Amino acid sequence: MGLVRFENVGLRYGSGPEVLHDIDLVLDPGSYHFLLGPSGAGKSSLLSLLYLARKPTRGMISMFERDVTRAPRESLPELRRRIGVVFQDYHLLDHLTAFDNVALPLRVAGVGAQRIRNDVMELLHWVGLGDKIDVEPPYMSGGEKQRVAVARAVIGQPDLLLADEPTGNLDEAMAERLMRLFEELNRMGTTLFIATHDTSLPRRFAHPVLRLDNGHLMADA
Amino acid sequence: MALWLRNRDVPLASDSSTRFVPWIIGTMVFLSALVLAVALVLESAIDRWQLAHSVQLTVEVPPSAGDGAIERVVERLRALPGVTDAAPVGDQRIAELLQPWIGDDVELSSLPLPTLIDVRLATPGALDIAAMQGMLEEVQPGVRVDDGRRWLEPVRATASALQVVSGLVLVLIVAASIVTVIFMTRTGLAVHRDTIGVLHQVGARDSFVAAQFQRHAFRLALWGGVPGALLAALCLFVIERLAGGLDAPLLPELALGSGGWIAIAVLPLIAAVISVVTARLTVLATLAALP
Repeated sequence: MGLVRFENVGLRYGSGPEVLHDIDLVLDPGSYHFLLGPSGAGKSSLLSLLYLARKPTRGMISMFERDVTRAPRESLPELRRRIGVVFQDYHLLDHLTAFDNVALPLRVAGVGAQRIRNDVMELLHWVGLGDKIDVEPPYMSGGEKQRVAVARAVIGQPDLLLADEPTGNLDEAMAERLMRLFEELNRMGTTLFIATHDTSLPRRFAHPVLRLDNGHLMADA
Repeated sequence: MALWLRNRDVPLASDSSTRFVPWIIGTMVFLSALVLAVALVLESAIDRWQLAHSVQLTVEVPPSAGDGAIERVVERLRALPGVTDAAPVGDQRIAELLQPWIGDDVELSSLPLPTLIDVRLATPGALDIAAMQGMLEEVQPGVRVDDGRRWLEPVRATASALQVVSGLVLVLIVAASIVTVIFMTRTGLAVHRDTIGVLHQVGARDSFVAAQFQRHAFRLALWGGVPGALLAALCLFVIERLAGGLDAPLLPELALGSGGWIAIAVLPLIAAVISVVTARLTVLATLAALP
């Protein structure tokens, strides 16, 4: 039983055409996959199924040994807390400081104030934003926002970490540092699934590659 | 970076669309206080009128009655079980009662006035008025028992109807307030859809999101409700002071009493609770439709 299992999954938006077709996918605990595919191939749609933002039109998705396609809505927050997501466009809350953005997953989980303070400060320093703690996203560069987004995704030590073009807005040094962080998290047992168009990443970090083309998922040879 | 910022995870306070809400809630609380005051004054008046007509009644002996008729009627009345006292109303009191209509210059003895006998009962409803009327007719034909029911019943019925109308107005005010909060909450949910999406994505429960709206609704309701209640209290206080100088015995006492003032003081809190519950239910119902 994988950490994530898709069986014959299809997705369409409203009455439009199907954007994902017959997806079969298994992510074992502690695995690390890259998802490659051109723009419009359905990467974001596939990720949205993985971070439980929507349910498939057909097929079955099992995550953390739960059939999430049939799971009641009340059970989803607990599952989402086990998933960290780094979005391409960050999805930060502009009215909150870097500290509060990163603290958000811990706050909604009811973690104590002192632990939140310690963990968030440590992580923000680690991603090089120790001097931006009280700065709000509109006053940050793209790279800084990306680092805040990464910090928010990993602060809760998720079982599954999803990233959509995580290095897209980072300079080379910070991108390298981020990928090393992902490697470290993976070594600690976190399952990683990274969607990217950067074909150099899979070459530098030897992990299985999945390709999504026109809504069809296939493993790289 | 203070952790209390959880109160503004959804930045509802910055919504310009909700700035009118305190004004609406304040107006609703103001109107509620006035309507509540009317209902309480009517309630007090109805109670008073009920008590008065139950232990006190008047017997009218026509002016055509012969000598000794009044004494016979009084004697008969005093003999009745349940009557504690029966005495003719003196000429001076009659003159006082008629003075507003006929002035000071008319000689009462020149007018064909009935003699009034003031009767006090031991307990409300101690006598069967119809039986009493029959009994007194035997003593002196033409005697009439007036327990005030003739004029009091329509007045009480009118007061009761006004109370019902007051209740309906209160219901409408509460309904309008609820609709306002529902509209405000739905607008907030639409405006902050992306923020709520992020909260959900990091694992927030619907109740976490609802709590943000509840706190906002609570604050807005108090911001509007407290000034509304204070303004209403000021108006009612002025009316009470002005009414204190009126010499109109038939009018209900235009004073609220401590219970009424407490009720008005609590109105902003009631408005806040209604707003909080409405906001919560609206958020939970709306979010339940999401995947």
